[in-house]
Amino acid sequence: MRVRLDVNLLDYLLVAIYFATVLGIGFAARKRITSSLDFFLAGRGLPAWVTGLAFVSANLGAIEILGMAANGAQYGVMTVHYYWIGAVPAMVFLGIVMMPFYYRSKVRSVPEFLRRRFNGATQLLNAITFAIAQILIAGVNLYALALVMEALLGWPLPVSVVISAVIVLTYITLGGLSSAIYNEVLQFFVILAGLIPLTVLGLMKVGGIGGLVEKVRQSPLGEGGVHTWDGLATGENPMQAHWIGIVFGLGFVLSFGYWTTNFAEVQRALSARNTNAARLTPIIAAYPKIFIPLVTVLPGMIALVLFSDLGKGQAYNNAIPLLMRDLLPNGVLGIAVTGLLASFMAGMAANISGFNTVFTNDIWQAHLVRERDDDYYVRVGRIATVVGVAMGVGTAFIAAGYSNIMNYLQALFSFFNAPLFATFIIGLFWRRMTPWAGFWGLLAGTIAAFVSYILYKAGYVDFGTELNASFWGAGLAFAVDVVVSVVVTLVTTQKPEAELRGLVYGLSDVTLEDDALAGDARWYRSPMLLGVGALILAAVMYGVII
Amino acid sequence: MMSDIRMVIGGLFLIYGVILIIAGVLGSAVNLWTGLVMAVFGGTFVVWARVRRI
Repeated sequence: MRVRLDVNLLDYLLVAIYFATVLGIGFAARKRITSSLDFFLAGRGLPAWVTGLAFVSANLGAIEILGMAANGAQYGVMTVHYYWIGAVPAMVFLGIVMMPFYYRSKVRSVPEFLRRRFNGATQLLNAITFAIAQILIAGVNLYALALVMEALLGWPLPVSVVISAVIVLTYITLGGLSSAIYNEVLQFFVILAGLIPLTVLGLMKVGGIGGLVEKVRQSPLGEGGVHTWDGLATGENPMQAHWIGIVFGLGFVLSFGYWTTNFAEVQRALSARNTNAARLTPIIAAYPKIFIPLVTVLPGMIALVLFSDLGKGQAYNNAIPLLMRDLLPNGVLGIAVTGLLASFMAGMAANISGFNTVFTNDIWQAHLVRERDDDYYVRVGRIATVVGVAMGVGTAFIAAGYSNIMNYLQALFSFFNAPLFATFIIGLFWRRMTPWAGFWGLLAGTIAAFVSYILYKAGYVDFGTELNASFWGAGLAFAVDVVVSVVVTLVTTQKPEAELRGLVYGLSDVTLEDDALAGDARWYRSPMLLGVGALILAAVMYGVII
Repeated sequence: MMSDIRMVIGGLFLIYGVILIIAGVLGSAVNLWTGLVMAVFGGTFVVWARVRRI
């Protein structure tokens, strides 16, 4: 069933002002680009609060928002596992443990780190899988947004695909990563400006938190809808999940894989101005991340209570659009529509800027056309952006066959990120691991995830729900990667220690200067303190909703 | 450059805030309240950018 919003001139005015601002940022950023470092890593000059907000925003795509609200309506409050155990610990780990290796080695990308630690083959393998994944995810994003815009505003599908693609294309080709990041920061606030009034009005309508809890208990979800850890030992909960799946599948393999090795995220931290700011990037991001379920999962649950046909005649993904239609007056409605458009662009811009960097740096420059001047690679980056967006448009329609887009993305992440994380973590802490162990481990892990997902899809194995399938697929990929890496290490030669300095734990690079800035020693800039603070806060939030 | 993005965020929210306040006075209270909050938020960013320049 369709949800059509009653937008008027005022709403369109607000949307238009936003687009004008976004394009303005692209033109302003263009003036500052003088080198490839400017284009791909924003000149490594951004403060931590900017990169931190961009880090959250890069993950706050329209699919994420609509999908998490859909999960909120379908599974209830236990959807917060995606945030509090499925994101925060990994983000803190990235900042405290892994970021010094990434940032201080001065690599431009995750695949480049793999080349330094292992070899060119590992770099190329990861670069190609990453590039394909980014294009697919950009396509999913684009298709989802086009569907939403067609339903909500009545724009024909091709029109919204083309308009959105052209806008993202324009500001990234002009301003590179700087304009992507600055737009992400802006988008972060606009998204909140749209979602907060929606949530507040929704809560008022259902009689506050108390009224909501009461009504969710009477809904089809029942008591399970208002608990996070209840019934996880037996699988008797709305997600039919087991705590082992939640803790090790979601909390460890999926989330550490995604947050610590996904270059579209890590790139935001690499553009920070020094090591401390890079380490703070994911940690600063963890704080808003803890509270984002308040404007995604919570409205999803409100929608469940207010619209009794949700999940029956009405798709769960319509939770937020339904609330927008019924609760927001013209004006704030325009802000919310802008926020949805903005959140879509945040996701797509992250995919495309990650893609153009990896394509240019790790495929083109590293393996095809070497030793050209810097301007040449900036040009290649701009062309890669155009081609990437065009392919995203082309692949947008792959997404059409899937009912719940979130699961489709989860499946993709488990293909590419879980084995990558295994390779990373062994490579960082086991200096004997050999270059070819990196390559074969990663290849075997990726294939294992693929095969398990295809077997599940073809019906040969039964994991219960799609969600459990991605947990198990990721876990299997991780295990296969570990086993193959260890076995290959035992039969191949390792890298000389001199080449591993600064890339593995326990072998620091003594030639590197300390890049700390005045004020980095203050407590509010301590990655350890703020990181532990985020973990405690996430645990306290679980204490509030057991 | 850092001050630029604060001015952009602040400026956009001030404009949005003013538009919503006008729409709120003419019509819905939801617009008025949201507009007020957005204008204050935008103003804070503009002041921050002015006071602590980089």
